[in-house]
Amino acid sequence: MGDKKRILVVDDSSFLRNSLKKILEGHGYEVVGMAENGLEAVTKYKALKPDLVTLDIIMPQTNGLQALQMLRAIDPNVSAVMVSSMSTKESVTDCVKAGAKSYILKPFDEGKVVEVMRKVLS
Amino acid sequence: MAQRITAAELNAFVTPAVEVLEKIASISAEIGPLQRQPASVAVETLLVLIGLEGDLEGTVVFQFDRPVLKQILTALLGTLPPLLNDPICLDAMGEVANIIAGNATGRLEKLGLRTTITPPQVLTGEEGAHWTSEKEGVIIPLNSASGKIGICTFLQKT
Repeated sequence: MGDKKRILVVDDSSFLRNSLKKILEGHGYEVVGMAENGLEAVTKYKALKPDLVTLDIIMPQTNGLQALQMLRAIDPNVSAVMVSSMSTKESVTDCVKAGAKSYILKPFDEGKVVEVMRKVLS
Repeated sequence: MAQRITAAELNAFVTPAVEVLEKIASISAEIGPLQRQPASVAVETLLVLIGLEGDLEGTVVFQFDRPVLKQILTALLGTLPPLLNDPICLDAMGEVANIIAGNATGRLEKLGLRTTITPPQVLTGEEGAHWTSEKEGVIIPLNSASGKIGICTFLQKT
């Protein structure tokens, strides 16, 4: 189906990547790629041009916040949703200031993920 | 001069641990009395290390009794791989520790401490896992019907 929204999932945990992929695909989204660090995310974003990217924050090498800044430099309209265990207000504020559209706190449930995706992609 | 961490600050890890274990694996855990943790931590299964940076600095080491480990992995993965040191098991347990420690940063923030965490490091080996700190720490023991979970904190205020 050509009208499926295309999503790039970025997390250093393969378990988390696959959990998100399963949820997203179960709700009609197409996971077009997955990346395990910020630099890989930027490379795949350029190549795949997804409708939305989910970004973990705590990752080795280039973290999610740095990756978001790099993505915004490439595409100022990037739709990025942060998915992180970091529960500080400072972390949320930093991500929103950097251009994130939403923030999902781990551990997440399926309903929350779908609700955020629908809102950001509407 | 570095200051020791307080009981209130240690408690910032307790609620996230209890809530996360309940949510991801239906494990009901209760905190036991805080105890001194020798600088050396050794278990027969695996250890997960998370670094803390910022106003609180050091390492938090998570240890799990084998039955608890199995219960968590079964809940997360659907089926239990034959070996607990399978990469998917190590990855999943690293993420569990990452979630607990990450959730704790919000509670530490409410206590006036700005912290961030580093990606998890999972230690395992044929004869178990072993890690040594420069100083002794404090262990937060969590007891459940499936066994014990230990959160060993080697932290100090900067």
